[in-house]
Amino acid sequence: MDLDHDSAGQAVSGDEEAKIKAAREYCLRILGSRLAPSLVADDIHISDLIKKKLVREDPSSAKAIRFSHLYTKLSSCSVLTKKWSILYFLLAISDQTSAAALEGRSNQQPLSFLGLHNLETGAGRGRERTSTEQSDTTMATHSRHGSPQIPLPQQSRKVTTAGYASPSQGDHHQQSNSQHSTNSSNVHEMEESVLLRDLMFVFQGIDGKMVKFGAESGTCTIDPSFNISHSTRGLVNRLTELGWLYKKINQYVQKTSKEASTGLVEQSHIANDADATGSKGLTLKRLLVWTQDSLQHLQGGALVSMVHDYTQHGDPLIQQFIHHMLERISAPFYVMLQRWIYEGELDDPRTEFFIAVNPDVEEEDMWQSKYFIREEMLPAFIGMPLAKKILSIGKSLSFLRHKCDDSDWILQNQGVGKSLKYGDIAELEGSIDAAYVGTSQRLLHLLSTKFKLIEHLTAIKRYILLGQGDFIQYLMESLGTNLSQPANTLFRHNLTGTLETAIRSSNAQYDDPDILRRLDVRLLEISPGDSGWDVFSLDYHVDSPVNTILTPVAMHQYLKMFNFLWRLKRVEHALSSAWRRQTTSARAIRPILELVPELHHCRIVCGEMIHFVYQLQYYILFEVLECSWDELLKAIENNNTTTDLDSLIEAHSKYLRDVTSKGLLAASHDVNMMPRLLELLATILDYKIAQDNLYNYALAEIERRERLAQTADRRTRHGQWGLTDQDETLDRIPDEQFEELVPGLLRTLNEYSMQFKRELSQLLITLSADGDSDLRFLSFRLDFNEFYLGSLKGAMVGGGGISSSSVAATAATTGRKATMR
Amino acid sequence: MQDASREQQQQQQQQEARQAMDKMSSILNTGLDRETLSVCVSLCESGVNPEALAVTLSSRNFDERVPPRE
Repeated sequence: MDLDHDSAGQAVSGDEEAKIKAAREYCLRILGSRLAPSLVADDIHISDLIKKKLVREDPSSAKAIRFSHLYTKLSSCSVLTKKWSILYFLLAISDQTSAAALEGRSNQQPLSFLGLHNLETGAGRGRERTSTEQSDTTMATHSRHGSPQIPLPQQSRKVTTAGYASPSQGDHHQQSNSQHSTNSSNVHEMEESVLLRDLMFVFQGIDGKMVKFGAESGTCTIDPSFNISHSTRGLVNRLTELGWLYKKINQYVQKTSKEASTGLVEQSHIANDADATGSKGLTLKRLLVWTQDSLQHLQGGALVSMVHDYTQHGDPLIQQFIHHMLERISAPFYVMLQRWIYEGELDDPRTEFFIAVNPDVEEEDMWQSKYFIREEMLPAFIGMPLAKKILSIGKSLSFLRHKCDDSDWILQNQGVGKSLKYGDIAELEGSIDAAYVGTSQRLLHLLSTKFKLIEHLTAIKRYILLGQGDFIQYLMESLGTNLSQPANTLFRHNLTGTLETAIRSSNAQYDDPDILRRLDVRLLEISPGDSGWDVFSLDYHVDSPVNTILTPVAMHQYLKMFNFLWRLKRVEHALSSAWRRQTTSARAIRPILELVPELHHCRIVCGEMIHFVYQLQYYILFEVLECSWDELLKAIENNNTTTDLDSLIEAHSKYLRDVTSKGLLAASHDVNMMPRLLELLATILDYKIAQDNLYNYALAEIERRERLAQTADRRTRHGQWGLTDQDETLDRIPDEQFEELVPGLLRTLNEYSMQFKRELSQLLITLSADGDSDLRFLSFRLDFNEFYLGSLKGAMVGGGGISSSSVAATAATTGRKATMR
Repeated sequence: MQDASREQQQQQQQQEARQAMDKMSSILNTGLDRETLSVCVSLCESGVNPEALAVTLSSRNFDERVPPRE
């Protein structure tokens, strides 16, 4: 692995070359060893071992299943001859990495915070703090360099102490002051040339005759035994600062180049430092020192942006130097960037890049949460929008490779990428934009062609959201008897069979077989007392990669929507069968004069219910579903709004949100109308059952009368009286039935119709007061002539709680009694 | 003609094998990138002892592990 990095393009010193050579020899020795593997060379045995390991790690065994799929694929392949060897190798590596991961975690922590003393400031805050300090210093230097002359060391020393005031320097001041007070009495003056020579040594980090580096603090002190004037001493103190800085850099460079764990970006920085100290001379060292302090706890992208802060420096010489330095520092960063945006691979062993991977994320959530941006590692010259684009490019590429099996395209496209380097930001942006557009378009194109995203969405709309009317109608008819039974007597295979029949006998049969295959029946969890209607649900299977958009959560929403629509459809179905019954049997039961007003009233109430259900359906299917669907299609087709997968996901989730929130009448979230609505629908079903009972009774009565009439006819033909005293009456409901059975039937009917009206009025009141205009319009549509709310107001004014219909019903019975007696 | 098509087929097979290997490696969490993996696979193919290869790859820090030469 490390060999790789070294070839990644940073300066390799001679020392490292030797190291590489040693490593190579080591490798050869291991590889050449005659150790036989501790296993038999048998494919099946090793694949079993791997499976066992995977099952051990992941109890759901999904990984193991996927592995065995891959294994069968591989074993059919004739290219590889030594499969057992490869498998064994993979297994061995896997064991080692999992063991190393445990070790590594404990080791990694302190290294990344190398030299950071106060951990509680955190990396992000640390950077902020230092950057403000830098701007201070930069400003200070800038103002001092108003004159075009090259900055003198003295000045630089002042600046650095002003900016950092490191404790060691503080010590140094005090020390020199005390020395000064003890030695000021000495009369002997040192020659300046001697001092100068000493200083030259000190500048190179070597102890001089008089000026020496302190053992602990590392600061320079002038030997107190020499007699030096106050002012000279001050001057020397300032000058020695340079030596101190040089030494510090040198130490750092040496220390870090030994440390193998140093990040790539840092490595190149060090190489550059070494360069600069050698060639550029003393005047520039202070710059290095500015970065020096922060260098200790900065890495990667943060380091790059740290250095980048200095590019605004006023002095052209320094600016040029910084530019040069930045170019070298950012080289590995650009290599990573390049690999990421052209190959979709994150090659970042020291976690320096501003995009990080979360290895624990399952494949299903790959798009959403596998990769993320680490803001503290974001270089200052890359803005957040650009960073997001970069993230999206890489994500799309790895999505293409892993989910869409489209690595060919990536391979083809790799050549297009040109090498990036620090410098022209506009050019960088340009090539990122180009890559972004290219990858996103490719991904969207693949999704809509190869993976038929639009077709899936249409299928969901047609089957789950009941868009395909004839199919649903047929399904409802053929399932009706099954679903009326208690839920626990239902079996999924029976229902699946019915579903098949429904598909085959409706226009759905012409749909794509791949889509029909995904359609399935699902039974929700059964709670006691549920009928089949409560638990039945259609289901639509989606698989990778479409399930990145149609997530399990989204599918759950769809199912919820289906459940509601299915109920509504069922009520509509029940009402239409009630209406059919009324119409077909109207003539037959006409002779029962006592029931005529009741049946008429039934028809009126049914009409109200049908109106309600139809309007509600209209609202959901047209105003909600179709409108949102249209928006979704427009959003998908419009290239300006849908630029990448993220925006596609966003468009879809907006569609789903609209559909569920408006469709389930929950646009304003303060009142939940769903339970009320469901109750209303249940009332309608109850009413339908009560009405069925009444019609059954009426038909039975008619049948009785017909039988009686036939008997009477027979008797008359035999010359007897047609009707005798024992017989019931021919034109009237028998008295005992009229006293008990019929009022009971009528009472339940009445109760349900009253309940329906009451609940509907309440719903209308809530709807008309709702903040959402669509819902208010729904309430207008339901109550277009103010029948409900107007009558409610009238009833409140009149003070009577009893509605006119119940009064009419009682009046009818009492009236009839009066005529009888 | 036939040779060309056979070659193409072989290439395709190689491609498939490479993809399968890639996926296996990601399932097993080996942490190898594609390049390294394909090098290792071809090493295995040419008869290198897999165990030794694994040991070699896992020694991430060479200068600590390189034993002094006798």
